[in-house]
This record gives sequence, structure tokens and C-alpha cells, in this order.
Amino acid sequence: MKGLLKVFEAIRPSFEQGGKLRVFKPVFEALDEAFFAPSATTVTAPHVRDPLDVKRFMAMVVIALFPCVLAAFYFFGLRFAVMILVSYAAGGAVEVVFAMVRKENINEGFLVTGMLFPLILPPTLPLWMVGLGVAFGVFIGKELFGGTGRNVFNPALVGRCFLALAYPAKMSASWLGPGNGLTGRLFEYAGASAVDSLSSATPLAMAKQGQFIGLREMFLGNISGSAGETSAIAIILGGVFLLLTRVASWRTVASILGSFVLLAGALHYAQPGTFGPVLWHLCAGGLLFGAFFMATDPVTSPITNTGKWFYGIIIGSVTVLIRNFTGYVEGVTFAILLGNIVAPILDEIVVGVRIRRLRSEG
Amino acid sequence: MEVRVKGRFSFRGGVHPPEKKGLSCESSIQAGPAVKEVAILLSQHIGAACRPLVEKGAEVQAGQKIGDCDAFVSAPVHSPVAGKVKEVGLRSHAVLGRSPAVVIQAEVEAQPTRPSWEVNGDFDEGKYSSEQICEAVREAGIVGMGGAGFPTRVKIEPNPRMPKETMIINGCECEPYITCDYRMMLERTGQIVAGVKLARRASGCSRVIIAIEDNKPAAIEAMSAAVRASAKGDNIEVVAVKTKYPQGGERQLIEAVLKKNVPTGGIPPMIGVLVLNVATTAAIADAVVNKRPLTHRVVTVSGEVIARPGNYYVAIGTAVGDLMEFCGPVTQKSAKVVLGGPMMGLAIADLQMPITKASGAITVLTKGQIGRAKFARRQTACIRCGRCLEVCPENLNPTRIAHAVKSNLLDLAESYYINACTECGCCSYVCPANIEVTGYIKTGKIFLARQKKKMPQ
Repeated sequence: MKGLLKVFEAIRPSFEQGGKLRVFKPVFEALDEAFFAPSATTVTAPHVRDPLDVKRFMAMVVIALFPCVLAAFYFFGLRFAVMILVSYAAGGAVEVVFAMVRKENINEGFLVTGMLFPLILPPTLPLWMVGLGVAFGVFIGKELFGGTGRNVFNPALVGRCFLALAYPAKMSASWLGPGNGLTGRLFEYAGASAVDSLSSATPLAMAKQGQFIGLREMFLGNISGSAGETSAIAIILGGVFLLLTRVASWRTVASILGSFVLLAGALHYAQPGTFGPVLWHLCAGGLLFGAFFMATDPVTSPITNTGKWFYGIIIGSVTVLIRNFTGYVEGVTFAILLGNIVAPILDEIVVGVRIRRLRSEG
Repeated sequence: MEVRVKGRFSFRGGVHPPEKKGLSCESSIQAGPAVKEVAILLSQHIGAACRPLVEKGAEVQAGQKIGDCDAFVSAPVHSPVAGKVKEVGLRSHAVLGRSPAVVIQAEVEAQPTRPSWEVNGDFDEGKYSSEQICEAVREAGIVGMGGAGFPTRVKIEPNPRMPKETMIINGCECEPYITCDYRMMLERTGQIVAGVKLARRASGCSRVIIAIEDNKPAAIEAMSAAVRASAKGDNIEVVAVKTKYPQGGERQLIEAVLKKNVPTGGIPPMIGVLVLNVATTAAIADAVVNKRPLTHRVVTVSGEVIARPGNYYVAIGTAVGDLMEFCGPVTQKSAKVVLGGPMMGLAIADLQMPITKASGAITVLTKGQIGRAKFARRQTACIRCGRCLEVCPENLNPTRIAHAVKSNLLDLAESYYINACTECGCCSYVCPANIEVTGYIKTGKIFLARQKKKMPQ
């Protein structure tokens, strides 16, 4: 490590003001910080700080995604690894270019977006679409708004939404039957032959035709669907980790799932023939993944606790409505994006009410 | 430390920084360093600064009043040693910068001796009238010793417009590292109880609650026993409160114990409450019974790099550097010297800075604790995680206030109630983006005060 530190110190001047390579300063800083912590210290009180910083915050999410990533490898094969690589490369390029233009540091937030994105895509989607989607999401969804912390919408969902609207055929037909047995599809590069994707409609699509897949399959995940969304157990494992480390807000998760269960339950109770059972709906599609990993994105959700409750209720109920009453089979993406839109308004209302109360106190 | 107590009382928000009290909590109060020279700052309290009463070259006695002021919100200062006035000049002050002080050359260089005075249980405060107590407290120059330094006389004197009913004695000591109040509660229990009774008599409060955090079971035990043993102690309760920072904040303590909220921007007497620190009550007893002014106090010197961390009885006016030197050689590893605890304390640049009546601790932090090694201390963009809102004990919106100040929108900051902030530092403590939230808020408050001409430029 000492040697490496020397190398970094030796080449540092060329990245500083006036150096030849100063354009690449963000890249250098990112590498430097990946190996060594910066030397800055606290300036004002409090003089000690909580160990959790943004880098660690984002790292927690990536760690929490591990069960889902492993499940995706198992069910959908090695092609998923390539999707992750493409996603990181394309989105990372946009991020790095913007950091260089803005002369800012590269943000860790991208590590999460780049990992989330392939997990919410159909497993045999053409790779160029993966790259285009993530680049669009990062560029339009995040950078144009001013970068990390200023985006209104979840970048990964913006990318997915764009693909769903631009290439609806591919996005609704690139499914793949999951691997089974001891090794699953671990040693296959699936998706090469078109045969795979023919007989593999997602549970929600089949439910529109009145066919319900067994709850056990839905829970374990050997069903068709987006790469990381099929296995409820893997999502819950990672999600519980996020809640325990308090990186994700339990209020958001609880209100999404709670309102979803209530509304879906009411529908099922009223007309069991038309609307699927609650537990089944809970495990189907991207609901769990969205609730634990997408809606809890701190940047795009409200900052007030009260706001988080309402935000979750909106997402949960809109998902039920889209799933059951529109032509779309799945509505989590749209529901969360809708939640993102109202998040700042919810904050304004909550803060406004609080201030009015203070003012009335005198 | 076998007693396990569970505090029931708590408040909304707050954080749990590592307590680090183990470094000094077992060390009993010892005599501090012998002083050659003391510098008594003329402004050691909130309110008007004192005028010096002595001139250069004058001989002073130990306990002699050397600075006073006619303003109501003020407290006189006294010399802790007998000696000669070397100069009336400028010395560093943690908040005010260079500030006038009386520098006294001690006649003999001796360690301060703690007067051995212990009150027994049947201490009767009845022989002192309320006026007598208030006058003695003022003459002794007693101010809040928990950190703020508000003149105690102003607090305890009965005010017909805001009658006080409940008195809370603050033994929380929620800041990490600090243990001086804890040791006071163990070693000066009787004196504290006597002071509590005197303060009760002076203020006319009918109910007294001594609140101690549940990480100090020995103190809770000692105080309860002393209260039980004392005559007329039946309306004094000792309660355990949850260990959480900032439990010792006046407003938080009232919320926790009484479930009442002090109006935003208001003060405790508005709801009939008086809050006193335990060390202050001990000083009251000393002032009233022994007519001894506040010239010495217990200071905790702590930190991983301090060779002999502990609680020292020192003369007010002793230089911070001398006290640190007394606790072992100051090594290269110490990166930051903080007057007070690490959460709300002030980092100081001048080791010649004198100890004041309100300085309860000197905390020495290493580079590892304040930056490098473990964590990046680089400010990044706000990720809107909402942690600062969750921990804010005042239920404010710290990030919005900070951003308003950053963009120079002071009106907006004011509309978010920037002045209700108690500067406890919880928001900066939790911020994953390392934004100096509290720092911005403090700056904003100063700007606002200047705008309204309440503070000199």
C-alpha cells in the first residue's frame, strides 16, 4: 500500500490545477479515494461524526443486492454478468464525462444505479438496449437535473421506462424460462436461441389470462420475469439487511406493502375470480424489489417521515390500480415514478404544516 | 456498578455517539496543576461583560472580587489566588476571540486544595431567606456550569410574571468523554443536595426532579440515598432518563421528564420550569453556606492520547495547555483540542486560553477520530436521506436551513425557524454527505443577528 501511495502522490500534481491531465482529476480522485481516505478533517463542532458516509451508504445497497444478483445468475445464466458489465460501462461513461465537465468528483451513487438497472430488465434483452437504457437513465434522469442529490426521478427507473416505451415489443418478450436443478443456468449463456423465450410469459401476464402460478415457485423465484425480481426470498433477504442497517426507510417499505396488501386484499375479497390472492400478488412482478430497493432511494423519496408514509401509500395503491385495471400487466415502475413526482410536494406540505403550527404557538 | 437502571424518560430525535466515559469515570476528583499565573476573563457568562475592579500592580486576596457589572444579566468574577495583578489585557476566549482579562501572578505556586466541606443530611435551608440566597449567588458570581454560563441568580430569582413550579436538576452529562458532573454526584452528593434545597427555597419551586442518564447507575444510587437521608427531601425525586445525546439539553430534558414542550424560541420559565446543572447547585451551597465565591471548578481532561485522563479540581483562569501538560506529555498524536465535549465543544487554537466557569472538559482528539484513517470527511451533495430531520430534537428541517444559509437566503432560513436550533450538532453527526449542517446554521444565526444589529460586526 505504501508503494501505491507513493505512486499516487507522484502523479497527483499532473491532475491538479495547471497539470497536463487536470481534465481527468475526477477519475484520479475516485481511484485515490477507493484506496485511501482523503485527508480532510472535521472543521466545526461536532468534532466526531457518525461513520456512515455516502460511500458506505451506497455500498450497503450494493451489498444488499447480492442475494438478488446471485439468484439472477442461478436462474438466468452468465449472460446476466455481461449485462451488469454493459450497464456499468455505459452508465459509468456518462457519469465520468459529466464529472469531468463539471469538475466535480465522481459520485458513488452510480454504483447503485448501474447494479439496479440490469436487475429490473428482462434477462434476454439485447445488450445494446441495456447500454442505451442506462445511459439514458443517467443522462436524462440524473445528470440533466444536476447530478446526484438533485434528480427528481430514480435514474434506473427512468432508463427502464424509456426502454419500455421505446421498445415495447422487446421489453415484453425478452423473457426466459428460469434454470432449475443444482446448477440452474449457471454455466449457460442463455438467450442465444429464441426458443428459450417463447414459452416463458411472466406470472402477471399469465394471470391476465386467468392462470396463476404456484406460490412456492413465486417465493423461490424459478419463474419468468425480470432478472433480479423473480426470487421473493432473495429480495427479502437483501431488503431486511437494508432495513436493519437503516439505509432504507422502514416507513417507506411498510407503507407501500401495507397499502398494497390492504387494497389488493379488498379487491380479492370483493371478487376472488377476477383479482388474484394478496400473497400471490405480493410475490409477483417487481413489487418487492421496487418497495425495498427502488422506492427507498433517499434522493427521490420525501425527506420527512410523514411524507414517507404518504409516498408509500401512493406507490402501493397505484401499483394495485395499474395491475388490475389497466392494459399494463405490471405497474411498479410507473407507480414509483409517480411517487417521485409527488415526493417534493409531500415534503412541502409536511414542512408547511409544521411551520404553521410553530407560528401559531407564537 | 452492579445496579442496573433503565431510564424511562426520553425525547424525540437524538443520536448515540460512542460514550467514551470509561477513560475518566473511575478517577476521583484530584487537585489540578499548581498555577503561577491565572487569567480571569471578564466575560465568562451570557450577558454583559464585567468591568475590572483592580488595576495593574494591585495586590489581590484569594476570593477577592476583581470584576463586576451593574447589569442585571451578569455575574462578577473573583480571583482564585492571592497575588499581584500583572496586567489587565487581552486573552483568548473560546467564543469571543481576544477578550479582556485580569491576569494575576500568584504569590505562592501551589496546587489548589479542595476545601473539605460536607453537609450532613439534616441541613436546614430554612435559616436563609430567598433574598439572602439570591444575593449570595450573585455575589459569588455563579453561572450555569453545564456549558452555557447563564447567570444563576437571574434563573433562580422568583419572577412574579413567570412563577416557577418545577425545578429540574440536570445530571445527565450526555456529551461523550465528560465525567466531571458524574464525579461531583458521587463525591459531593451532600453538597449538591444542600444546593438543591437552597435553590428550591430561593425559587419557590414546589417540585424538584433530579434527572440522571441511566448509564450512571452509581450516581443515581448515590443521589437517591442522599435525598432519602436528608430532612425535608420528600418532594425531591431522582429519576433515570435514557442515555441519548442531547438528553442534557435543557429543552430536551424538560420534554423527557415533564412531557411538556418549551415554546419554540421561548425559555423554560414560560412553562414554570427551572433547570440547573448539578455542579451549579454545589456551587450554590458553597456560596450560601460558606460565602465562598466560584473560583474553582472540576474539569474533565480526557481523550485517548491523554496519559492520565481524569477529573481535576482547578482554579478558574488556569491555561488549558498547563492543565493538559499536567495530565501527561502532549504528543504529536493529538490533533484537536476541544474545550467541552466533542459534540458541542469548541476547538481551540490557543493553548494559553484560560479555563472559565462554564468549561467542564478538555477533550483531546486524534487525527483518526476527526478525519483520515477511517472515514472520508469530504462534503458531498445532499442525498436527501432525511436523517437530520429524524435526529433533530427540535423537530426542525436542518438540511433546508443549511441550504438556505448556503445560498444566502436568510429570510428563508428564518422562516424555517433557524433560531429555534439549539446547535446540538446531531444533524452534522449523522449526515452521510458530511455537510456541516450545524456549522451553516450557526453562521446563519450570526448573520441574522448582525442584520438585526444585535451583534457587533
